[in-house]
Amino acid sequence: MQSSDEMALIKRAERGDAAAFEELMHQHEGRMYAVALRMCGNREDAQDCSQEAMLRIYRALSNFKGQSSFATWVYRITMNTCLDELRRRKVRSASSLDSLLEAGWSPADSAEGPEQHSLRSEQRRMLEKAIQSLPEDMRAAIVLRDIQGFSYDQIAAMLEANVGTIKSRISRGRERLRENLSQQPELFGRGTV
Amino acid sequence: MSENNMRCEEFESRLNDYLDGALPEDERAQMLHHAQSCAPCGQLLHQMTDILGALHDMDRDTQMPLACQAAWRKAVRAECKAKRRTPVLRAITSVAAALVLLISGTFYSRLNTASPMETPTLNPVSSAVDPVPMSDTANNGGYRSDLSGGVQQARSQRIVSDGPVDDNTATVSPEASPEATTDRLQNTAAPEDTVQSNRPMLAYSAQLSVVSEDFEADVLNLSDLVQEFEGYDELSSQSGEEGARRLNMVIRVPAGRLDEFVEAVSNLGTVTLKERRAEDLSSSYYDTESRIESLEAQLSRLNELMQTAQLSDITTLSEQTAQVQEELDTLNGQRAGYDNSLSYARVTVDLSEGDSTPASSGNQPSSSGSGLTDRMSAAFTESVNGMGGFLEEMCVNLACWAPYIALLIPPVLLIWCIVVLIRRKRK
Repeated sequence: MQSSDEMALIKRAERGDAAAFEELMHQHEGRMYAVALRMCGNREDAQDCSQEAMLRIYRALSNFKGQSSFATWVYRITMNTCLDELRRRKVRSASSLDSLLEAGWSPADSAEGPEQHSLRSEQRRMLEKAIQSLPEDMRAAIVLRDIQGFSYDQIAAMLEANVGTIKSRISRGRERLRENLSQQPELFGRGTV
Repeated sequence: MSENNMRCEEFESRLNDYLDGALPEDERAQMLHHAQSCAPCGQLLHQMTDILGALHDMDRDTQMPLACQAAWRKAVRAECKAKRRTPVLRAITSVAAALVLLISGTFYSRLNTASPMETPTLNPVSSAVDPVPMSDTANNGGYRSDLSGGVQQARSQRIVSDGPVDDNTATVSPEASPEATTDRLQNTAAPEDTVQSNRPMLAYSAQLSVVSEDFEADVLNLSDLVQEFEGYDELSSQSGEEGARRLNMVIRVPAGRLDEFVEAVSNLGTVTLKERRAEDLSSSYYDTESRIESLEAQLSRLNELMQTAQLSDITTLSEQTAQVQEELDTLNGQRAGYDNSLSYARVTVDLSEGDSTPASSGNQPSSSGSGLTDRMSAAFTESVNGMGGFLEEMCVNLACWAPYIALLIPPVLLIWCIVVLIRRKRK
């Protein structure tokens, strides 16, 4: 549930206080952008979706009744915005991996050697490609669970489905990723259990 | 189950729960033991662990680009401003819509109250006849050069009636020429002529307003004209001081010479108003005629009965005869009045002393020879005066509609409240 501070900010933002809304969304904007980036597959679309999601959240503030957490509500709107965008446009099967490399990837670990860095970069490139190849519903579940770390209950609320359906999507999504990435055994499958 | 007896199918089915950390400790140990002893399942576990590890680290440090942060903040602030402006805009739009309705309604009512023969204008006087200096009348037999054709047409078209038109007031068709009208009148106007029931009985009247430069001379001229046309004045009154004197006369002239008389009076000065009317007395006249005939027949019958009546009946018959005679006398008087109205047209002349140049008529824009500035100034003044009248009429219309608007407010408010409640429930 929401903290009292969060509720106060929500009320102020509802009344038209732009500063309160900015403070409210500051803690979520990074994850919202990351979700949009993984769903849309490119930086430009991710920015558009993020901005659109922010506006939708602002306009719909009066509709938030506190039945779920504010974060759940925010990411539900974010995910819906991304899904709307994907349905509106054709999903770009060949996304620009170069743009992905530019957009928010972790900087190279200084402790890594060149070989390790090269391996990691290649690993991410393949992983991103594999994620983009997933159907939208599986992709959404994988992004929220395995990338962002939300619980199954939260994901079910965000995607407006029941927990069993979410588990099924995640299971099938992971299997597809594994099938896709098992062709590169040197990149995946060398870790320790 | 022993740790070594887990089958691969069971391992695969529990793998996701293992990866999610949802298995109890003993089952986790079983899964690990199986993976260590089964190469394919071990490979599977390694792959999934790597994949999930990579996914977990993928966006750990991802930040929204600064440009995107600025963009959404800017968009939200614009949305805030728009949200604050909306009620004000709505109010302005509502007021503007109400004003448009009020102005449109005022225009519409003005158009509807204008005569069908008149051009809708804010200054009906200016649409009557253009004033022309007296000096221009010398060449055309007493008619102004610019007025000859125009006045003829204006005469035939400006058959108007003040106020509501009753059944007995007719408008003469635009095609009716004064000569044809005169001919018809000459055939029917003489009091001693037998009335033919198929002919319309039209009583003509006219109204003239003339501005005179030489008031005293024109008063005498007017009297001379009345005698010349074998008419007479019903009413004459003069008022005002020198320089602003005014003569009001009601003159009766033979109906057949009405137009000629009007033209002659028009030549006395500058005409600022010229109106001509025709009132249809047909139904009243014929009704009176019928009643007279009926009463005459009744009287004749009563006289016959008197010749042969008994003494006891003579008193009754005498009384009835007296009543019929009284009614007959009244109707004959009425008919005589109708005959007089048909024979003699009524002309109301308003002769005022003043300057007959176009500028003195007040609202006429200068149209001959003056500069552009003067014309613009005159036109502006006319518009301002006209706008004043229009605004007055708008206020009157608003007062007229106010009760209806007040009546509409409660149901409109009720509907608005219902809509708001429905929207809130939907949210």
